[in-house]
Amino acid sequence: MLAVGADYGDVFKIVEVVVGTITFMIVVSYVFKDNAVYRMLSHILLGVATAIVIAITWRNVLQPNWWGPVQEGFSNIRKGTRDWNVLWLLCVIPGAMWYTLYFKKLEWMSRIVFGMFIGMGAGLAFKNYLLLIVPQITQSFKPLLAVHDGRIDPATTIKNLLFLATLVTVLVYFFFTFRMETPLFKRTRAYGRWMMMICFGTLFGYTVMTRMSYFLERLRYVKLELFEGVFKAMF
Amino acid sequence: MDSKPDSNTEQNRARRLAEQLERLDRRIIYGVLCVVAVASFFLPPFRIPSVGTATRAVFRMVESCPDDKVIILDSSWDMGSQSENRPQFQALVRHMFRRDIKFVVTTLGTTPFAPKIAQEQLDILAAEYEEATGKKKVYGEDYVNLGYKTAGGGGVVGAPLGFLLDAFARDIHAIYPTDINNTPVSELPLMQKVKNIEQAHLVICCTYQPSVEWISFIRGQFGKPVVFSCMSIVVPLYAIYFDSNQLAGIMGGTRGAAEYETLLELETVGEGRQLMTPQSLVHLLIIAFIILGNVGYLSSLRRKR
Repeated sequence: MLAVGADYGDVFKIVEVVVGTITFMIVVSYVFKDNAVYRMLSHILLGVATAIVIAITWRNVLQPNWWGPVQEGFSNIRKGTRDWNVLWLLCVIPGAMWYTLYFKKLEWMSRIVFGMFIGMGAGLAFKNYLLLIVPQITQSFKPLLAVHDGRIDPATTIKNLLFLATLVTVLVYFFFTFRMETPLFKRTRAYGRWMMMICFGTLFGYTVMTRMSYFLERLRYVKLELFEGVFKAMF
Repeated sequence: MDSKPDSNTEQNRARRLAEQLERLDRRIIYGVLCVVAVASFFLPPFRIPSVGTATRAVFRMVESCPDDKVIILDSSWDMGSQSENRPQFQALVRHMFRRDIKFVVTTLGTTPFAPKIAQEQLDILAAEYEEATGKKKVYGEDYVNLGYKTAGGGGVVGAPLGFLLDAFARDIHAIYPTDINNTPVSELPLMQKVKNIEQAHLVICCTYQPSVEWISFIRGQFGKPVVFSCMSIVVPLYAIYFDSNQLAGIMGGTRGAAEYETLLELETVGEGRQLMTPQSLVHLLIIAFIILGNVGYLSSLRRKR
């Protein structure tokens, strides 16, 4: 889809598309051979991304949520109105405590904020896992003979049996408490390993799909924006 | 008498071919892949032969939205994942526009670039809808974009996202006092009806890798159905949650977007289907290379024996 209202005769649009295309080609050149232009580009990208993140963090987070209310508070106090928003300035203290990590004598102060954050994170993580894992456990109890509308559902039955077999064998594979060298356990572990290998294969397949998507989307960009947009407008 | 030298020559040729296959320069592989990928853009788009259960579930969930409810679409994707998330986002928005479903776009705690990119897409899709139907979709009445809200400050995601989601679900106006244009949400007609998660029929997370906190808090704590619209690479991680009904559906990658477009029966070919043609051909090529590589490897094993 071409951008609605995009003026491909506009100099800035042409520069944008040409730079975008050249950048894409430089990035792709890496798969053929590492080169200085690619390395230079990756450094530029890193610099630009860091600068943007800093600017956006200030503009979207710190300015409206912290510095803005503080400024407003001071302005109100100057006018003679009481405004507790100025107290947000105190947030600088725990914030600065993070950085005492770099001074040996003051290092203990950073541990206070670390502790607070770890405690908060642990509490929330506990709740999170409880809400996430308990339904997983209860849903693991599937009927081995699935019945749908009074009739046996063979597809679901096979699926449930496969699920149970995989669950048990993978659990056995990761059972290290004592040695189990009987043929039955060996075969069970082997089945578990096979199931995991199939799972990893699936993961790898999806990974290829995503990586190819990146490449193909950029190719589509070149086709649409450069050839069907800029070139068409120019010639 | 003559057949022996012939069979030897043939064997030598086969051995040389196997050696060449084994030592095939990766640059040749990449070169062929590039040529096939470029050429495939000039082919007519393929038809999607079947639609997966997970994508169909997303479609059904959106389709079943009642008139008095809204859909919350968390659009936390940016340039990094636009190859797969953009076609998904487009398909979802097209569906909601077509069905006259009102929706609220948020960006909770992932990337600050997302709201602007989402707004660009919303403008394009609203214009496309108006051109096709003659009906106008009004910002503030039919949809809103509330913008970026970080979890924990400075884009820290993970544990603090739980706090943010908890607070968001209880009082959306407290978390988002203004929208992306700094308009107070109380002045937006749609947001006057949407105060908390109770007014939502469904929550859709469209991003590279949605956080599991959406499942645990929005689904687990508040009982609202959640669907993930994510990159292909993370689909296997979330399949278990779909299997346990913790997720109401998954739209995975470009394939998911193409499937959704098929269900939508679009008049034009959507971005998902456009990308699936080269994707399919490139996958076939990769499979062919894997087979060739293995043939070379197995024949070298035989020679060594």
